[in-house]
Amino acid sequence: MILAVCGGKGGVGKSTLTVELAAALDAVAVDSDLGMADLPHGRGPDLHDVLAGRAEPAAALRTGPVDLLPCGRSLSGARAADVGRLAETVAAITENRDAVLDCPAGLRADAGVPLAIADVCIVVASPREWALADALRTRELARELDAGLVAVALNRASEAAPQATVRDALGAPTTVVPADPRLAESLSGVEPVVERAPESVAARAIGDLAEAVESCRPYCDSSRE
Amino acid sequence: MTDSNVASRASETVVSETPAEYTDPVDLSTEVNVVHGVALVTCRIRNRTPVPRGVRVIDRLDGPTLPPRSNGVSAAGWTDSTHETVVPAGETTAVGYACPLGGDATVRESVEEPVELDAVGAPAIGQSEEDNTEQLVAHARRLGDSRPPRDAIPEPECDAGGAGGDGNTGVTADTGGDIAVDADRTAADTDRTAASDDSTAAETGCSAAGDDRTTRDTDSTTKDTDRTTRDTDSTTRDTDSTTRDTDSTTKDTDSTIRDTDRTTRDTDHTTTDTDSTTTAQTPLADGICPVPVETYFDRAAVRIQRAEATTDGSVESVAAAFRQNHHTPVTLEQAVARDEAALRAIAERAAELADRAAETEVPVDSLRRLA
Repeated sequence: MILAVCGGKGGVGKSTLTVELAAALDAVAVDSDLGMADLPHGRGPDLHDVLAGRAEPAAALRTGPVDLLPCGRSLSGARAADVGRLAETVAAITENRDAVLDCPAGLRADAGVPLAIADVCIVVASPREWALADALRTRELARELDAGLVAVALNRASEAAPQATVRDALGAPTTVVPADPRLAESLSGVEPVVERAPESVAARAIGDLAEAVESCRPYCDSSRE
Repeated sequence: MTDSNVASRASETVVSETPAEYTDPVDLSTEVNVVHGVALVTCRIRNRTPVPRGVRVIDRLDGPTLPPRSNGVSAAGWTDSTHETVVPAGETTAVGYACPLGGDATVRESVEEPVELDAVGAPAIGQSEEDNTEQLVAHARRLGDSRPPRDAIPEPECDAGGAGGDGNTGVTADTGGDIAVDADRTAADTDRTAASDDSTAAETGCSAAGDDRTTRDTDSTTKDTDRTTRDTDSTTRDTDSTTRDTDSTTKDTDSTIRDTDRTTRDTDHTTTDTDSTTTAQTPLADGICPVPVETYFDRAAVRIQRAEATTDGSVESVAAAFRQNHHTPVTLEQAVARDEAALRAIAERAAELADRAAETEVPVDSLRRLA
């Protein structure tokens, strides 16, 4: 099963939730934000190399607190990467494993291709007006590309988050993920919050999102499994 | 879709199912919700056959057929009152549309079967369900190229040590190699600084030398990586232990620098991964080598312990085990199978490396006399 974590605006917390959901689902996190990657990186080949044909997908796979396929940070790498090869790349690492794709902001090909590949998606919104409008546009793109919307994550929410408004606007169950400072460390390569603080409100919210994704498994394309 | 507050008065639901005694290979069930005189129709077409089937359904309600539209364009497959689609093998496809019935009309006054399953056959050419992902990807690519423009890529002579995303891209092999070689050959303090810079760069996710080295490593210039390895191998024990200390202090950042094995083994492993990419050797199961090793062992031990608890446990203990963690029985089995394959590969690889290490003999005395 392939889950895309999307959301039209930068900075709403897609990457953080990608890592946390990958931990909760025991899936591989793929940093498919080819232009602005921010999942933990390191030495060795990365997704830029794989999409430019310089490396095999398995060679770019890293294990750690969360298994992930990171992306390079250079402009030349982004230029040389062929986003059209993402489908075969993700297929190569999901033969007996789920994948969570971190989508870029925006509505161009780099945002569309992960949605086209994915079976289901989660839209990440933050409780601000501009974020909701972009979440709506992303939701429309996901529908166009046949990525079923499983849930909306209302991220970095404080009290009185407009959960009902978001749910009605986007037409999907909405889970509030509270602003927890530990979530800010998820991209540093430390243990994800769902594992080091499983009883926290944030971890339980992410667990709810993961459960919603799991419930879609019987409806996903059986030929992918 | 529905205004649930008004539903009780204005809506009426009619469900039409295929009679139980029929088990047609492809069947249709329909649900109609009438809200404010508009029928909202949901059809489910189930394909029990082992091959994809092309189907056509026709709206039989009185009133114009209003299919879903995006920017004024009817959704794919719709023509007037007819919808054609392909139902994959063994799956169910949903089709929905609206039909204004006018006034206080209810569905019963229209027709008995609001939707007719008009035709079932082999999918038409160009209608194959298997190509769906490819078609979607092609459609997504037409959204617009998102790559940085060619003009934004700086020339290779740019300063390699520049911070930020722009100045690091075209580092030549020599410059990158010099950085690596200098880091290895200089005194302990400079080594520590270089390694810290490396980890800081990785931590912030910005460019800088470490990333250049990554880009350079993964280009086909594997000889640069070999040079780095040889230099690392031949450094003195002091430099090794300094880099080791630095590695342990940067544990919280980059996970590959955080390897609890020694620096030489880490670089060796990275080199061999790059080598295996270019020489098509795959010494490890699935090409996966866990880094850092100790953390991976801990996590694998947890998964295996969970599987052990469920192996011969009572129903209660097995149920409790799955309640407490996020695995399902299937995913736990798959995860433990992956662990078994990876651990056996690690054991083989470790034994091979240990044998090689045992057979080496660095001529320390001779080199000291030469220096």
